[in-house]
Amino acid sequence: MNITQTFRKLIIGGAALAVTAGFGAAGAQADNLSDLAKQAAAIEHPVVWYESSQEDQIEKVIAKFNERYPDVKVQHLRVAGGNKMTGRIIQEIQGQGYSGDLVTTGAAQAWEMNDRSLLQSADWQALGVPEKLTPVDFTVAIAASVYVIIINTDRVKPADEPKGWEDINDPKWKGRMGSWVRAGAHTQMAKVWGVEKAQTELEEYVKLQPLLFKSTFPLAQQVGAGEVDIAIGFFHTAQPPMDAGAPVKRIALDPAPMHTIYTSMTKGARNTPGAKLFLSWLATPEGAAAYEDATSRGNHLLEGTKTYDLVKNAKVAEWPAEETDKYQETFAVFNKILGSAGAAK
Amino acid sequence: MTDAVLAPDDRAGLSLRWRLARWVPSLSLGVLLAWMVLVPLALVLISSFKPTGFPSDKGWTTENYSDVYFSAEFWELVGNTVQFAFGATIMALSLGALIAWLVERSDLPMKGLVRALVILPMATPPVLMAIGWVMLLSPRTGAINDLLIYLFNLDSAPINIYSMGGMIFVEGLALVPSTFLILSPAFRNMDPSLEEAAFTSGAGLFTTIRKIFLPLLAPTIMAAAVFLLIVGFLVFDIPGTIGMPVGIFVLSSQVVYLANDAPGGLPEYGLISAMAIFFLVIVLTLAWSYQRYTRLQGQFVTVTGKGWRPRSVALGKWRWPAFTMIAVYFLLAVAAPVAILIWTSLMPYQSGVSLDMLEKATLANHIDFFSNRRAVQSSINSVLIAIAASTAVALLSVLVSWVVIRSKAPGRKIIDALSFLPIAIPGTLIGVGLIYVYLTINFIPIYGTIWIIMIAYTTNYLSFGSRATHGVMIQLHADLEDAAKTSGAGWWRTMRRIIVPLAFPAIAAVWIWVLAHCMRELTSALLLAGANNTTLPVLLWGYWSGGEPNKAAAIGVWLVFAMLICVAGWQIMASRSKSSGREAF
Repeated sequence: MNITQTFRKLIIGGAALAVTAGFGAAGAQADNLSDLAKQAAAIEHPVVWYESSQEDQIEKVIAKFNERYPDVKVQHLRVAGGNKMTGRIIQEIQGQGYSGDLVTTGAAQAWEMNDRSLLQSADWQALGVPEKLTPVDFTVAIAASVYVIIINTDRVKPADEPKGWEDINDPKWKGRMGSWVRAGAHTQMAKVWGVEKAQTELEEYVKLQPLLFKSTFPLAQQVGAGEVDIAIGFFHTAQPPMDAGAPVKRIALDPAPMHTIYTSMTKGARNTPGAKLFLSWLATPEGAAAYEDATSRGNHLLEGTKTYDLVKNAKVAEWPAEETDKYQETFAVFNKILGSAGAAK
Repeated sequence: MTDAVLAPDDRAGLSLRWRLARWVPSLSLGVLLAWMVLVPLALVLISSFKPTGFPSDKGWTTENYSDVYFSAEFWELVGNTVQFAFGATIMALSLGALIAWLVERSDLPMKGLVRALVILPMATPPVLMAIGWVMLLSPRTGAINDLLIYLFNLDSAPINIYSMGGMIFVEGLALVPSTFLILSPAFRNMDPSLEEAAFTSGAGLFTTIRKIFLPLLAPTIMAAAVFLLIVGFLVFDIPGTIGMPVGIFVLSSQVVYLANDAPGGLPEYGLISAMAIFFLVIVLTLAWSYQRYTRLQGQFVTVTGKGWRPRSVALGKWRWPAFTMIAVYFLLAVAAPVAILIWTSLMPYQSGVSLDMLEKATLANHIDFFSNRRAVQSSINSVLIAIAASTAVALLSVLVSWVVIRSKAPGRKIIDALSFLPIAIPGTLIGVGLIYVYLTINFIPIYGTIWIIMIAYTTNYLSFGSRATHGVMIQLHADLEDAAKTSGAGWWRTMRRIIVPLAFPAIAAVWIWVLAHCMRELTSALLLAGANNTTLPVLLWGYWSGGEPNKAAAIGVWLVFAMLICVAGWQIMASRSKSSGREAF
């Protein structure tokens, strides 16, 4: 046997081993998921999922999940806002010992709950969740809220359309700009620009006297209604007026500020196998697509999603979860600066 | 049997029983109110001294107080809030009192219709009313501004709703129905001989109002003013929609920020609770002032044992101008917002009023409402909660007012304070308190049911109910009860045959007011919502906050319609009652 034959055998043997190992891992995952599905179906309690999207939207996600796992019951409970959701979980676990099985929040809330030992860890990668979605073992990134420019196409001529950050602080938008009352976008931009530059940009932005709206969906609606011509808002919030035929258009930003959305399994879960199964499924291309189709919030870390395409060529601006304290400090300062905006000041 | 024939032991026993009996009303009510009010209040207090704001968490601190009260921002917000609350109160009191007097004491045309329509704005969820006014008076897209620019060839919009004046105007309009419902029964219960005497003595209409009406109605007007002021301090929807866009923030904006958007990832219940203590101090001060002012009850009595029927003042040449004034009020407070609500409900997306958009009108949002199974369940939940809470508030209010105003029961001032305190507790904190209470007390399994929301509403609205019934109870002369007792009637019979019928206009007003507010209340319902107890406002909020304001408007339209049916039913009952000779309404 010459060297070439030996090398070929080694390659073939190695490839066979790799394929076997690969199939083995996939097979093990399938076994895991299949076991989880059986265990989950045997538990009386459904998987209760605390999440902030509309019920109609999440029903579609659950229906898609049930196509694959028909015996596992998932119940969605819409809870207003991440902070209140976290507060409720704390109270429920302190009071009755159980709570929602899964909770979808931002990084600040997930890390806060983990600090309070309210979350369950799991070997998510063993369940097929890509490593990049689960930087820590107590939560999984399932989507992102990405900031974009939203314009009213009836009021902003194509030639005047902003191209990106460089056009945002143009004085021509004075009195025409709308903003969420919280400075989330500029706070995330501070990670890329540095706090000082982000603050300078925000102070210039404030000079435009943007109309401040208490939440982001109404902001997008007001762009559609022509109350403001342009706004920095979330990609997904512009979807309802666009679906309804409003003259609204989104323009991507680079750098693209965003908030990653995490789903975590609580220690108050009563159907842990079901929670693991459902969360693992949400992190699959099928689950991510179902969630994105329903809510317009997709997973920027998963190739194939629209959100991935939206930001794939842009620099992402987001404070990593381990720097949550710095984010919170900047957010508080920037909120005060933005709060000083407004024609009444 | 008299003391003269009783043995000393019997006399002592009777005296003890009598003393105990004196405590029964305040004790039984006190226990109930303490459960409803003191428990959440205690949790608010504890929360204000906790580093995280969660009562069960470890550690104690006074930092929440120093963070709140040593902050310049807080006092700036207080300044804005005082301006807003006083402005709205003055406007609502002036308009509400005038309309109540015209409806109850004058020969105004179409009084029944006015009485029915005046309270309709209560059914409109405040956030939708505020959005409606933005759509009417925004400098950029407001329909009225557009019309004025077109008619008078103006260069720019003459009215800017985004201002403190705009906030006061819309809140003032929104508070008129509450003012009307508090003042109207008191106007109706006034003995006409007092004004007749004034007129006979040559006093004119305005002198009579100044020298007869205002002094006699002072407790009721004061109760209304106190109530409206506190509402003005706590309300968020209108300042949040009209003031926030141009940077006018009030205390409630800060409460919403701390509850929803605080950077730490948790609601800042500790800071909110520390702020709530500020509201509590204001409420207690106002309640104390009210008690001091009304301690000489005799001077406000207008309902005695003498037979009388209400007399209408002839407005003469002012009859139609007065009607026109009320018509303008309807146009502003009812027709315009409801028309905008209907317009929005027919549009595929939020838009200004224009002929172009008319082509896009659709019934899809209404069809969606009726074909949505959650809407049906939420409607049933809302109606059940509203009926139960409004009945509970009406009953409790009468009892509280009787104990506080009519009885000599010890501790009645505490009962009064307890019934008024809930108004100072933001809905969010009542919700948080109730979650703790009913998660801890497992043997009352109401967490996640409609009953926990009903308790929250009853607690929340008891302040209004008791203020409204206080005003009428204070007008009833003690002779009425004494006469009943002399005739052998017991407490229950006296209440049933004398007190309740005479106070019924106020009780009915309270019932309707609470019903309407329960049908639209959101804050605590949102916090207490579970899988099976969603209410209609929570569904409405879901649509609004989820980017579908047109679906929210469709719900708003049907809420107004439901309210119209309730009010019409109320009026039909009232007219039947009158025709059968009972002045019950």
